Amino acid sequence: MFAELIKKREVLDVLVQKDFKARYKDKALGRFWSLADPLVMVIVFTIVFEYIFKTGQPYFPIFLLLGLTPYRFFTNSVNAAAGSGLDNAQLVKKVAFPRIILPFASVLSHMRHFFIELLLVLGLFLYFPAAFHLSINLLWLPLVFALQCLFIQSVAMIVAALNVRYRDTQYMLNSVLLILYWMTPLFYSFSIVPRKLALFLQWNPMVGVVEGYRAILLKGAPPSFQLLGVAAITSTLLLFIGTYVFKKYEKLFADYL
Amino acid sequence: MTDANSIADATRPTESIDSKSKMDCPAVIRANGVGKRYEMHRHRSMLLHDAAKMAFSKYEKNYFWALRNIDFEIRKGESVALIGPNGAGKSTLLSLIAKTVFPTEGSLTVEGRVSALLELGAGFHPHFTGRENILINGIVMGLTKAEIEARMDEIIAFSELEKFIDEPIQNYSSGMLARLGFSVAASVDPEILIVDEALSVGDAAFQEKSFQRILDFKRQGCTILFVTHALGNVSRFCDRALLLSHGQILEAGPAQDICDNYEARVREGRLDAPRLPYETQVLPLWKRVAAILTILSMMGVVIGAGIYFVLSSMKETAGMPEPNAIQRIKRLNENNNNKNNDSDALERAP
Ligand SMILES: Nc1ncnc2c1ncn2[C@@H]1O[C@H](COP(=O)(O)OP(=O)(O)O)[C@@H](O)[C@H]1O
Ligand SMILES: [Mg+2]
Repeated sequence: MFAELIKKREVLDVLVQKDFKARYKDKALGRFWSLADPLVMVIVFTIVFEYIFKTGQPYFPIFLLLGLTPYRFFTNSVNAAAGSGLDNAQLVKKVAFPRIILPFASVLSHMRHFFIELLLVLGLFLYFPAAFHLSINLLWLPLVFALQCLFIQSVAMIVAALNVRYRDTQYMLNSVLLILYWMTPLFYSFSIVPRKLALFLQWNPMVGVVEGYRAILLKGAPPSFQLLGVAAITSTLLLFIGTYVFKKYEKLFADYL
Repeated sequence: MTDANSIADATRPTESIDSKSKMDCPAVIRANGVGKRYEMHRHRSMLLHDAAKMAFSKYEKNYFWALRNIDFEIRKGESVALIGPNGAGKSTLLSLIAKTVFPTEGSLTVEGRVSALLELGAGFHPHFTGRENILINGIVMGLTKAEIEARMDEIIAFSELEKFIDEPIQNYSSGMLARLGFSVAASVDPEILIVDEALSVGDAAFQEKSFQRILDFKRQGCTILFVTHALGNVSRFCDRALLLSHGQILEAGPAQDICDNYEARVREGRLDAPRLPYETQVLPLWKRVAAILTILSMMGVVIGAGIYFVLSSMKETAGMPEPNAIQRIKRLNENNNNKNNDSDALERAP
């Protein structure tokens, strides 16, 4: 299944391009529109959490963005993957190509947005150089990123295949994402979560990922290996489920669209 | 050498001039007992609904056999027409050969690069220009980027859309879209070409041009499968025809004979196949049990945890006075162990 992907990477590439370009084709500032959303969110959430709730988190905007940006990569990819079958129904019904390309294209396209949104983080770090910690621990970044991609890709495969078969997957996914939005430490630090609750919440791989980015960039510390380990377990499990579900339904995509 | 063979295989063309040479050609499409089954009532396929129904009521699945017991062979270079009434399964058979859908039973082998004119312009995006869409469509149909760029001018020239090629295709008419789609599909150099009623769009001149292009392919030895309701075209293109009805092959033989028989059958109302294509399955017990367990455990974990945390939060805060501003700030500051904001917070408190 994954070998086909490499053989057909030109198709993958063209679908990613198409998806990415289509989004900005008729917007004045082109791809920089993808900065508008996180920018507005940073402003609003900083007002709410710093000026009203007074969480007192140092460098709150950067702290927030280091959670929000990876989390947006996750939700946007997964949402796009869930819709990818329906969005490309004509293509699926009329052209034989490896169906696994669809969720991969969704994730890759949003990975680009993720990198663009990181420019915002970069900008804030340039403005507040004191927030940034240069250390050898930066070498852990690729690991955290890889884990994040593994998790996102696994979920993307599950929902992409399931949503072709069962159309309510997308609605259930929305509910789950809403729950995860608050159960991921975006506005708070995972360290203030009570132990009992933390044992429960840590199984969400985004916890390890978000906390990992923050530890590395804001504290110059290594990521929490307990959280990353748990995230790796969940993600691997999800990868197996995703591969199974996708194998089961990939030959039926055209039947159900 | 051919006598025994041609008796055994009654579906082979016996009259056409080049049929002799084609008999020696290898079969490129071979169907053995192929069947394709679709699930019915799909508008209801909701995971929650299905699972609940599976768990709490006798759950049946209804199936429809769009094709069943299909056996045939098509040799390299042959052109074969599929004819039959609407819903006979012609498009399904072509999709099986194009490998966009897969057989439920039986085996189907297809050898060679297939180009499908199932629907022109699959994957076109309205916001992109004609040129960009040629690239997208071509790659999706199996060309490489380099191949398309090499053929770009040729494709555009064939479509006769030079003036509009850098316009977004949302401004094209449907005939122009069909031109663009056909031009890309025709540039793929197929070994097997599949055409499904696709040529009925486009003006007369372009239709004629497309027919000529298909005849060119035929002359180059391309195998062609052709679905059409215009029986006049059948004898123009095809050596052989298969007559499908209700998912089965009613007749197979030389194109002209089959067309005549089809017309006769339509006149006399003899298009019924011997078998009803419906089927019902009742789900096995273990699946129902699994469904019940899945639903209950999913609901149990989420709702249980939610209730636990809500209740214990109320227990902890029961009897406490509502915190005023100062207390709240103090508590927050203590909680966060925050040093640098301390003075700031105290200053702001009244
Ligand atoms: N994806 C599908 N799901 C359910 N039924 C289908 C699907 N595709 C085709 N069918 C059914 O299969 C039968 C054959 O359809 P088709 O091959 O399109 O016929 P035609 O010979 O007119 O091209 C029809 O009864 C149609 O309703
Ligand atoms: Mg049809």
